[in-house]
Amino acid sequence: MSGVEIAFGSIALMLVLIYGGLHVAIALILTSFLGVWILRDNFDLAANMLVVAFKDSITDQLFGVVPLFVLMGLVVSISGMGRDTFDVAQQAFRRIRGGLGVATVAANAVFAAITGISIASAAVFTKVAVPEMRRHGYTRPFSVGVVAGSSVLGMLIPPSLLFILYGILTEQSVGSLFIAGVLPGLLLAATYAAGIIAMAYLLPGFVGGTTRHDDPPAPRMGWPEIAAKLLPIAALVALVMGGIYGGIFTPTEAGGAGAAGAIVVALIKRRLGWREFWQVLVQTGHTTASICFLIIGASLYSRMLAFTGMPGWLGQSVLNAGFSANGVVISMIVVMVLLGTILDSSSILLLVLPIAVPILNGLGVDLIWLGVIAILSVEIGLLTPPFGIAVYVIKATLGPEGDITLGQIFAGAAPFALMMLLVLGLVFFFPAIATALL
Amino acid sequence: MPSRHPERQPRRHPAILAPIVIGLNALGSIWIIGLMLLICSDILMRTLFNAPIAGVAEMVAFSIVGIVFLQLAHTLSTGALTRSDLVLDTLARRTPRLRGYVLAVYSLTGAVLLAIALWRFFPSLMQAWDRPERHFMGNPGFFQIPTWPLYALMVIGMAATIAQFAAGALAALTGEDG
Amino acid sequence: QETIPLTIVSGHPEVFLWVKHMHETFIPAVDAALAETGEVKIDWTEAYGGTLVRLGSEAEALETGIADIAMASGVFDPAGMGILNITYAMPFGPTDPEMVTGAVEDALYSVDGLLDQITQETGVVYIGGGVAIDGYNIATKRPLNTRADMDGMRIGGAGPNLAWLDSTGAVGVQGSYVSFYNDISTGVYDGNIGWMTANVPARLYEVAPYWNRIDFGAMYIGGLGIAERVWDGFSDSTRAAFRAGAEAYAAAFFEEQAAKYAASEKTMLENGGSEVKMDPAEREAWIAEMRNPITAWRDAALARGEPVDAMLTAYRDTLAEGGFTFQRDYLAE
Ligand code: NA
Ligand code: NA
Repeated sequence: MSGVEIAFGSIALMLVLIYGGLHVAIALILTSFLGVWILRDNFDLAANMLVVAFKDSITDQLFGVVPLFVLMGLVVSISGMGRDTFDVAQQAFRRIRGGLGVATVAANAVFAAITGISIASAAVFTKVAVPEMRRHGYTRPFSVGVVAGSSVLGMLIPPSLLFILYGILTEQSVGSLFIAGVLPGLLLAATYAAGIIAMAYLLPGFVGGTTRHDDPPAPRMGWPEIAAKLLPIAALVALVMGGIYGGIFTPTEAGGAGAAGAIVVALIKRRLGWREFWQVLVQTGHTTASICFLIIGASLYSRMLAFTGMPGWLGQSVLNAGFSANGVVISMIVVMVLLGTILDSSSILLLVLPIAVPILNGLGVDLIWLGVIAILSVEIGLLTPPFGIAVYVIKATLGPEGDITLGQIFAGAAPFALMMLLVLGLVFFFPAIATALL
Repeated sequence: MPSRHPERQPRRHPAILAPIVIGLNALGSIWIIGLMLLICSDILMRTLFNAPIAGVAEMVAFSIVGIVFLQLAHTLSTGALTRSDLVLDTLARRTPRLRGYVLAVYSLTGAVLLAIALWRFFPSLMQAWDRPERHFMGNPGFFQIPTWPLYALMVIGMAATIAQFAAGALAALTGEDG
Repeated sequence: QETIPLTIVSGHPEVFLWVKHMHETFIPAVDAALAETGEVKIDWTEAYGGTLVRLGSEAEALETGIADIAMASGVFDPAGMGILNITYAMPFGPTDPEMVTGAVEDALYSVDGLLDQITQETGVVYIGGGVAIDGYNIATKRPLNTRADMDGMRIGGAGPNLAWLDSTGAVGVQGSYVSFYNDISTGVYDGNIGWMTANVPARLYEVAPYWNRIDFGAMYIGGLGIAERVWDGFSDSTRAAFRAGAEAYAAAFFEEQAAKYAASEKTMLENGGSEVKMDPAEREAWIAEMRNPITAWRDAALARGEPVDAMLTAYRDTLAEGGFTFQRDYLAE
């Protein structure tokens, strides 16, 4: 079998295994292991790759802060800060259908300014927003779909690790890329908000949350109560944003500072006893282990694919088809979105950009604009099956007692993936969205 | 919400497995707090005293691997390791026996894969133990941490997870899985 | 004609010249040299940017059969290849990358048993193609004319570079080119230790416009390594072809780096950056008062049982023969 055949065979096998209910990480490890074994007809080699992937896939400061972002989300949730915030949002948006969905998007846009990784947004808001939306009658798929979709904002609105990686790979200014991401990020947030309101009217069965006439109307809160409810979360956001933009700590370290800040606020609110704290820690560990073991599997899988030469083959055969500049950019988008179904975002950038950028540079394409296009394209993959990391992070964060299936999360995220495509199209046809602020 | 199902903690396993798995998990949980304090101390030392802590990047990288492997078996035992329930739930309604066999095969697959990994990983631990001067993270003179303790934790974590997978297969065959 | 499948990897992406010329120079040069005899042909698989092997795992990948060729580097693998970090232990050396590389490789080849020991311990055969990056300096938000200007400054850098700040009032903060831009712009630190052909493409002059010519010197980062199990199966003529490829690789690297250096310097100066030369007396005092940078690195090498003193002496003496004398004889202490 050729490498490309093995690659496509491995995708088919992975699909069957994941939907068949094998642990996702085990499915990724197994297909990678078999792929390398068959490709090189070498069992030892396949086993050695397994070992190296275990050793070095997550051995990085970047992954080290994953548990701290998870911890922050859990503490914000258990201390009632999340609930208070959404109570206020519920009152503010009570006249808008899908109001809490819009509130989640808005809160994510703010959180995007304090995190550089989408995993963090997905983990935090699964704990903070999903229970509140469920409490207010929103459907399961919609509640998690909003969180999955808006986690993408974390990578578009600075700081963003993907923009940094893109900047390194293409020698573009990280500062310019960050600025270029702001308007598309806000546009995406606005599109989500508009889309949520539209869906609430057109597809009320999908959204939910609007037809609970049997509930007694909640007593209206006055300003002092609203202030009391918002003060703790505002203090936490101010601490973290102030810390990052005041040069006290890095966006990576913000996980540690944010978790500590959330614990302090929860202690002041007297909402965190030893017992709750221990349970929070245990669940943080479970979510972390689940996400990171998945990342190890995904890393091994992308190494196996690199071995087969499939991404290079796909990139070469599509990108070298002799198109105009726009044709090449569209081809790059197609390749990235396709690879996004099975690979994580940074692997796609590392595999595709070295092929695409020299061609596009030669054709005189604005590489800052292209950066926004590329990040939007790869981030769609966060939401698409079979491997959508935002979806898996949400599933892991919900924990074993969560009553929402992977399929429901993917279904809930689908409209948001479509809205991303829409924004991608807008940035493609109106480059000024990316470059206007530069 | 924190786990609401304490009864889903390790079940009818060899009596020795559950306390080990719970103990490893507790160690990992404490480590998470240590990690948070480490990062916060570094920030404070750097900002207030202009004296950053050396090697925090290495310690954080070291820690995440340690935490994940310490927690893995417990994560698996509580059902928190991500999987799709669609087909399994359908089987549960129609042919619970078949579901048991499928789950057993899945658990054994996990056990075998991790056993291969552990078997090939073990020599790394021996080398790192024998020659710490060739197996460390960081840079001499700046910050150095040997890799053998981490590799030892990984070996322990993998072994516990293999045992947990095996126990899961047994439970699935006897119809006692969760 | 025999066809050999070989996998060449790097943890760094192709924007780094030492990776770019694996693809652009080394592979074509080896192919060309092999074509002369027609004895063997290589079926190359290339995987850069950590897509197959992560940064720092290259030696392990070569030993375990995952890959066959990679850069043997001490900077990115201080535990396995630490002996190759000699120039980082002897800062304030020559600023000419070719001179530095020549002296390091002379030491590697001339000290008895040194390369054999590397091969024995790591399973990697060093085949030449050594490269050094252009001189390390400090980019900052404020000019550094004296050491007093550095008082209280936080400077980002990789572990082995931070020791060089000893005896100044600046503190080193661990960072990398992934974090420098963002962290300098928000103020987590005031500048970074880096080299021109990395600082300018990363556009650090936008946030740290002063390029302070401290002249830590050019730093040798490694050379090409091939798995021993592969090398053992090669005929002499095949080996010669690979060594020729490595030579062409280094030559192309240095040529492009020099061009890139000039272009980078121009870009920086045209975009608001400026060069600052530190007062020579201040620099001398810095060198004299700094904790001896060799000590820890030498101790680590001794613990591994490597002939480190012979290597240090050979390196220092080769440089001296070439006309460069260190201001402070680190070895004499
Ligand atoms: Na962000
Ligand atoms: Na996907």
